[in-house]
Amino acid sequence: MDTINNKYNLGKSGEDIAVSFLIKSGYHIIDRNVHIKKYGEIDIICENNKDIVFVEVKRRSDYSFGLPQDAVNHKKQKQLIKLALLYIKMKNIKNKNIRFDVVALSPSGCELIKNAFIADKFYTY
Amino acid sequence: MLSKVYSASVIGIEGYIVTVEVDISPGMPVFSTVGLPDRAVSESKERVISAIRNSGFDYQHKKITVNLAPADIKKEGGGFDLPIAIGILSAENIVKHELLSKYIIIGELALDGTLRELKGILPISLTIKKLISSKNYVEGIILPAANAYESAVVDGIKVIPVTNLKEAIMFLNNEIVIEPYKVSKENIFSEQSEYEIDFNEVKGQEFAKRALEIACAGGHNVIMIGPPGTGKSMLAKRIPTILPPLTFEEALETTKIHSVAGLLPKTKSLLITRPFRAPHHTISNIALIGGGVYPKPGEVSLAHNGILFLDELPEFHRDALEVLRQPLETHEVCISRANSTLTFPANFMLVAAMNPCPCGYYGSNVRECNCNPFVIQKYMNKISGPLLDRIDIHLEVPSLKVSEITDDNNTGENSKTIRERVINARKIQLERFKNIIIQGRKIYTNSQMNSKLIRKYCKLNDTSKKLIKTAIERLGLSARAYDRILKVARTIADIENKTDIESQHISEAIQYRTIDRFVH
Repeated sequence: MDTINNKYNLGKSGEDIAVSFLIKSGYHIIDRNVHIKKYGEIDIICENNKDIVFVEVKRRSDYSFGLPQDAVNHKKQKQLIKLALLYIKMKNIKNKNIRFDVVALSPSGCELIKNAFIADKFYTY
Repeated sequence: MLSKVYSASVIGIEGYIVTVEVDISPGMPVFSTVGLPDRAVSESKERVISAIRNSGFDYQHKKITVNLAPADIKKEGGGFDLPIAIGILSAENIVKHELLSKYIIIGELALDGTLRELKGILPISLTIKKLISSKNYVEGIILPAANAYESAVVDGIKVIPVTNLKEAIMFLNNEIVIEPYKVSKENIFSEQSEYEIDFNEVKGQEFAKRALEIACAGGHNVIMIGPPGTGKSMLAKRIPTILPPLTFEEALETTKIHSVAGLLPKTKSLLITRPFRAPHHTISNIALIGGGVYPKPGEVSLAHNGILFLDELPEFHRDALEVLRQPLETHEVCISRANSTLTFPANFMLVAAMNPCPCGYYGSNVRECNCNPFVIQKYMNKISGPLLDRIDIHLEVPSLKVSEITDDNNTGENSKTIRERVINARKIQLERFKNIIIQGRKIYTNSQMNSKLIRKYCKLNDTSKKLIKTAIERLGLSARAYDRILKVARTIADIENKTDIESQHISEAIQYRTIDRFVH
């Protein structure tokens, strides 16, 4: 139990680090930890240059499982795109550019990956 | 923002204009290409995005829709990379719109933004020329620099060579001036083709040389029959050296086909020598006449205005030989597939070579043939009567005599002398057929005459008529063979600069049918 709690706290504090990092980079935070039933959770939603940005935060305490950004794989991308579409529909967002960024936290520091992926393969109307 | 760029592609050997529409709207970051793109076209987005970024422009993922119109033709190849990239940048207002409607843009992008050369530029250039002459707003073409020399052969269009994406954008924004690329036709044609081989290297075989001269003068099909080692292949390889150089129209037609097939030599804008195609006898019928899901020209079309040499004719697949019948008669091939029906020109001179029997020595005076009659008959039957009927000149290439083999003096005529006679005979024919068009196609040689023209230009005097009647009765020649004799006789008369066909011309022409007897 202890380890799971540790993991949760590590993630939670990672998101806090990411938020402060995003604000420093000129992002305006709109929403945090938006949970949509059955589909999952969006870590951070913010606005940057009039774009709606969906941010996924990944943290690794060491590199034994690879880079944090590598964990945003095909499956995770698909999930995020679905969540983003649902969020847009719920909030009735129109005429805005949408972007997916990834914040990777690792022992060597904090990295923001803009335009981490596009919705090509998964996106259907 | 919406933008519109004009591009072009090739279907068969004809170019057509494609409108590339790019729409960028806010929304999910998606890049979709519609308008029947094939794999190479739908993959182009990866090249386009990388090329834009690596050319120093800021690329933001947005909802990009690319439409390639007309929507019902399958788009192939990498030529749409550059128009798509320019379309995206003009939708983002990085490229100005004014010049976009004046130029057709094609080019394949490398990831660093440089342009790679493409196939089929000549047919596209010819299409653009047609567009310009129909008072269209189009002025020219922007293409990879490596393709400029090919396009510049077509006069009346501005050919703008660019080396990379950035240069193309700067040109469209009027930031730099690129002079239209020009080549002089005279220079291309003055580069006379020098062959390393010559007809006087072939020992003896004066009869065969004479027959090949006639064949070249009139564009007649030839079959050479003879034992191994008598020089059949050697003679065939030297046929291009006595053929006249291509005329400009012929060169354009032939280059168009080679351009589509991607066989054009890198430094040449036009083929100035006649093509010599010698496919191996294992060739399939599709490779021979052309085909594929999106039909591509085959060997017969690649040999357009040149020579198709089929060595060891009976070894070819029977169906491959039978498909030759239609192009030999109509000088074009019509290829029908579920997606499209296309017609490729195939006006070639067929030169075939074969042995008289499987061992090769039937009828030879050097060695005895050890094949039994049934085997010989079977070997000969591999070539059908109808195919043989379409070959004007049947030629026996006998074994050389010992004195001819050991004679080291090149006493025969060289290619240049023969060529002059051939050119002269062809000149007469060009003059004769100046205003004649058969089925929308210009004709150049005697072999292309249809029966109506044969009646008109091959009038016989009474002696000749009597001679040919006897020949038909004795040799059992078909009606088609009769036409062939007249055509060959016409060519012989042309070589000798005679306006009328005389009896000696007819009798020489009949000689070149005697293998009909040999086969039956």
